[in-house]
Amino acid sequence: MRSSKTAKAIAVLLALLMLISTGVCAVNTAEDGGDTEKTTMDQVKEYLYSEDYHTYIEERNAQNWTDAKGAGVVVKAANDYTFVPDPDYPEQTVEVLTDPEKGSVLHMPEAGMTSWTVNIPETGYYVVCIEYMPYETQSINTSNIKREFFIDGKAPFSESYYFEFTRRFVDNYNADFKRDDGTQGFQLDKNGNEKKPTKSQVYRWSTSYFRDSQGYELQPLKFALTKGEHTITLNATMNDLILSEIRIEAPAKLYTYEEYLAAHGTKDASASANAPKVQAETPTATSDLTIYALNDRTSAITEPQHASNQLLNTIGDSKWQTFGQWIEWTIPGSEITEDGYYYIVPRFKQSIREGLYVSRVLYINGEVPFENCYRIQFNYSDDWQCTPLSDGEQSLKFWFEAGKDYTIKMEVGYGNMSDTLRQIGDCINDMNSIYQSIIRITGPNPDEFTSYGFAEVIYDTIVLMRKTQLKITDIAEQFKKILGGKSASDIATLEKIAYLLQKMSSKESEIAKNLDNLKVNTGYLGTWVMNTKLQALNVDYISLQPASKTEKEMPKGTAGFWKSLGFEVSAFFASFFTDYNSLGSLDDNRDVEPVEVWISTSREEAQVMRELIDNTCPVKVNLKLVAAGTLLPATLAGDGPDISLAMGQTEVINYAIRSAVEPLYIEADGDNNLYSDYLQVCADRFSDQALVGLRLENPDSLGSYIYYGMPERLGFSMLFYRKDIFAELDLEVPQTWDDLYDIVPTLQINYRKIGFPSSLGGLMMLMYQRDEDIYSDIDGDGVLDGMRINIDSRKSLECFEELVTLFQTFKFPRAYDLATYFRMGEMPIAVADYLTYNQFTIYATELRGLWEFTLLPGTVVRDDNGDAVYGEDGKLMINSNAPCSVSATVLMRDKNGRSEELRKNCWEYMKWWTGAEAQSTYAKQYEAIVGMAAKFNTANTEALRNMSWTNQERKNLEAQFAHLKGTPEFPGGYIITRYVDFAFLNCYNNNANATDSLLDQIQYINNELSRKRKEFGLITYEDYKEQNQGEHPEWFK
Amino acid sequence: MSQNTAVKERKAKPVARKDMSKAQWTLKEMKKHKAGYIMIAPFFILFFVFTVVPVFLSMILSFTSFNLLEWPKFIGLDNYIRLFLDDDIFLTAIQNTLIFAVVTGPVSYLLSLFVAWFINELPPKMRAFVTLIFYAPSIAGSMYQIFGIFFSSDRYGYVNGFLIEYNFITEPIQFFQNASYVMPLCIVVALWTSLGTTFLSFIAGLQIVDNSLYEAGALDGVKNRWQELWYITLPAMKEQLMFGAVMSITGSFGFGGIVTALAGFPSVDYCAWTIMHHLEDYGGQRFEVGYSSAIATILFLMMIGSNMLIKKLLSKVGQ
Repeated sequence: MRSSKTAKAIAVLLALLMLISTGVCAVNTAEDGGDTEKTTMDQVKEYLYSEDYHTYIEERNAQNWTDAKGAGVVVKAANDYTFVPDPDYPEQTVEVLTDPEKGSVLHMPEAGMTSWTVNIPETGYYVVCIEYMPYETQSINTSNIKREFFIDGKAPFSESYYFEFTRRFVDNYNADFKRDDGTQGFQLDKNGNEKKPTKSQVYRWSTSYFRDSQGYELQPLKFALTKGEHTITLNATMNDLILSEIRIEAPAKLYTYEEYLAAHGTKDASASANAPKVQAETPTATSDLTIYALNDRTSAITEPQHASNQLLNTIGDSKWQTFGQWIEWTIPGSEITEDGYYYIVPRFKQSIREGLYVSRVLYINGEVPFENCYRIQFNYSDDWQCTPLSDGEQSLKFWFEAGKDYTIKMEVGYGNMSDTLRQIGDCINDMNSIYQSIIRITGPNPDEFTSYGFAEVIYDTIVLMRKTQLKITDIAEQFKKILGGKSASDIATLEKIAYLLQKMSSKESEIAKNLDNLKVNTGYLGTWVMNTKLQALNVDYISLQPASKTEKEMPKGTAGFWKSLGFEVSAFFASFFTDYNSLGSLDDNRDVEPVEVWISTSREEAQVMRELIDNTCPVKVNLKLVAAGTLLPATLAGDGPDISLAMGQTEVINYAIRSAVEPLYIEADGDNNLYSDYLQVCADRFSDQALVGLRLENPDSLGSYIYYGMPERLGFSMLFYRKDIFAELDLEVPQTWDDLYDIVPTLQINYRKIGFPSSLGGLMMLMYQRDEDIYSDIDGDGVLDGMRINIDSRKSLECFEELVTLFQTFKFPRAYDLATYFRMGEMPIAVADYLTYNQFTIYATELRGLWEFTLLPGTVVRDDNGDAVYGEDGKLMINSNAPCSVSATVLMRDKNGRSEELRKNCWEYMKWWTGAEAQSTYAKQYEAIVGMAAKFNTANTEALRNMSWTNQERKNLEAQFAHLKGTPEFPGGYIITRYVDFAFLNCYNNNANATDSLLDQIQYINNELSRKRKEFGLITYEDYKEQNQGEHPEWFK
Repeated sequence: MSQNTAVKERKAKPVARKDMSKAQWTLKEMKKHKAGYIMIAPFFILFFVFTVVPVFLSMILSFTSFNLLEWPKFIGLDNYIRLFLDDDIFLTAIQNTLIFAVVTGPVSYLLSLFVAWFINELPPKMRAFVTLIFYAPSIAGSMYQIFGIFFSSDRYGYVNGFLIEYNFITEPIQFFQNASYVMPLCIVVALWTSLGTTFLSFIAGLQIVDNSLYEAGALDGVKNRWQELWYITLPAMKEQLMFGAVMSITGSFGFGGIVTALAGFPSVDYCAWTIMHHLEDYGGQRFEVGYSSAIATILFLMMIGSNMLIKKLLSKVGQ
């Protein structure tokens, strides 16, 4: 017991120390105003040790803080600001603009800190809101605007690192398209299907409070401010913003429902009053480009409905499911004929959260009318429903006045569930830290029979276990209340976890035994929270129904039996005459020969592509969705397309050497090429390394290239690491290999693993960082010729040895499930494809802000004496090259030849598709299909930049983008992966000598290269040797 | 009745076979049985166009160099010469294929037979249930993936997890990436999945054996179940035995997909590389269809050969 007391004392001491150091850190920041000397890890620590909002408020409530009363302060953004640019983006600076409506306003760039001094009139809680407008830039930027908010140079709580402000998009309706009932309709394609209108962004002033971007707090966040002078700071993390003013206000008191009713009289609108209705698919505005009208065929009475044509008749669904997304509709005043109370009755379908409800926040004319509107619930049913808006307990009435226009805005929120979700989120964090502290002692595979003495070593953790257990039991109780006894499986999971924690905390010997269980359950809970946070809702229309109508008079959610039957039967017969697979285009002009394009991804992606083509493509295109693997037989039969999309570089060259792909540019022909601007276009758009995998040496003019294809996607690896674990173990992110070797022992002592690609992937990375190529250049003309492999050079063998050492000596794992290992912190550092970003963002939401990707560890550049080289800026030169590979848009060979015009159009198409505009739009739409966090690895540099990265992410990505090295493709190249893998596995499995293993395989690789070259009539090493023996004896020693 | 006699009479009327050429005779016979020919025509046309023609095409292609995208070039026997004299990996492939064929073919064949024999003794309802259990692995197409999870190379794979937990090993074994484990594991999986059609046809076969035969056998002095099996049951179900044998052989010679799914393509050091892999490698990855046709031809001949051998062996059943 004494020892545990000592432990406690030490823990308290440590905590104090930490607090002080954080404080010191914060003070430093304030003094230096964003000192550049501060290392990244210090920032991370500052973030990690900041408390969350809930604790912040609880602490202050305990100190008797109360809401401020009175007027608050309005800060004009353009007055008396100080701006500190981001050292990484020194060119980004604020400017004062003049707005016709607001006078002087401040344009804040996407990086840098802007501060103001405010004088707070009285001590108390305040809420903060800004009046802002998105900044219209050249690039199409549609993601939310993100800012960090500091008071006196310090974030008051961790949520203030993530304030988000939405944009506003409207559909470009065309008044010419009317439906039969006179409402707004859509353009029809040649098959009679309705086409989505395009959307454009509206730049207008809006007001937004600082709210919890995770959605755990329903109302605006409160900041505790003392009377007197304070500095407030907005730090840009994503996107430009025009700011008119910041208002620091006393928190508004919302009506309760009873107060609302009392304030608006007692008169229900009479049953005979007009019941206005708006079709949901024609909203006034939406928060995202990706919320658009959809087609629903599941019900006969979805309005409008057609047996064969696809009419856009609903909106929402999975496009409208993440926190903060909103849709706004307008109810024209002319249709409201009588003052009084109305029910707002939407026809909706919520068939995803089984047993649960989804929530929305309701705004009428931009304001939440009363408190219950934060908690509007839509219950589960597998069919359409038509019930008045309710808060789960009662249907709510709203006051509308005749002749007045109303806007109704619904925003995704978590309603009654928000606090529970927050608590579960906290529990996951607790369980993670419990797991972390246990494996620090035992490793991930503890021995059941060892007595680790947990009670002495990690007493706090055991206490935490007990606390978490109580919390979870409590949450399970709340949940029972929320669900009203339904869907017991969710509760059972919670109870199981509570029991597990109770067992582990009460008996020491159970800890090691149940560690794995704990891990699995933490993961399960995380996934559950992630799923529960998706609040998809599909809406058909919204109507106002006079409150005095009886239930019978209300519209129905489901169609009657005969109506359904009629619809299904006619749809069935119509299905014989409708081609649902054609991606209908608008253009029916038969004079122009269309460019035939084949895409073999998903149907959704093809549809996005079709839309993009219809809207912006300069040439006529016939887009076909084909099954993967159709290209080869079609080409064989001479029936292939003009252009094939997203072909991997190996395949491009495979086709090219068999003349199935047209060369786009032959260097030796210079300006005589048909597409003479090819090189220029590529240089403007792509990394120079992107073309490396798409070219072959010209056999007729050695030393020059023939190019095939335009890069479309570019993949490469980056370093992912867990900030929290690095901070906890007091490690810095490795910039070089030496740094990495320095931290390996610390990581391993703490039972952490390092993820690194084995075999050829790892070897190439090491070789490219030492400027060594995979293939040799036998004829010495500066162009790799693929006659021989170069992995038997002295440097390459060293690289292979180093790689093998990592796995043999340092025991890096060869096979691992990165997502799980990374999430649980077992593998806090890993080299992986940068698109793993998507997986981590979506899969491990609880890790927000706790990880990032950055430049790969590099190799220090050394001169001939072995001394490190320093660059002009005095910094150590580090080569952090990552191997990259591309997939390309290619022009297929047409055996019958193409007309001059078609050839030109093909080129126009390729230029259009790989251009920044098409790629950016496609990336946006792709996000809409796959989910908001999904990024797409476009090869177009500008389009990649334009995606919704935060500054930091973009900075890291650009750094790696500058350190890429492409791998050339040669006939027979497929053999290399295979034999290098054999060599590697031989070392890994049998502890064989690295050099010997690799050298054993070299001859097989070289034989295959020669054999393949012979097949294509290219000069082989053997021939070359014979021809040039006399001239260059030194090559053949 | 009178019509029938008429047919019989016409048939009885001697038409000397030796008076006609073979073609004439065939034509005449075909005309006579035209209803039968019409009935098998749909299947036969499909079978001929999609199975027989490709086999012959592939044999023709095996004398060419053909890369799928350009017109084939005739190169005589070069492909075969290279295959036998200059392709070490093909020899590995033949060796592995034979190992698979010899181990899994007969073993799974006998296994099927005996399991079917035992199950046949069960009461009907029980029998249906147990049959389903044994047959299930081969209905569910990629059930063998369960072995991939069992023997995962990750330290949390079941086997690795178990071995690490009880301190047999400290680092996970790369089961499917280690030449010493791949082949045995693949054989186990092959056996497990092979209780498929063969087994089912045996059960069917066992049930058509006429019970009166057993009675007759008992009277004639069959002394035990083995004799019963050998002299009565097996001869009575020779067709099923033949069918099962053909299925086993094609199955074991064409074995490859499961190895690819478990051990990757190629398996480490080509340790479980079969002729099918070799064929896929050249046909799919290296675009050398001429060469892979030569491989296919060899495989085809091997299968034909072993089928003949089996036929011979089966004719000994019951003697």
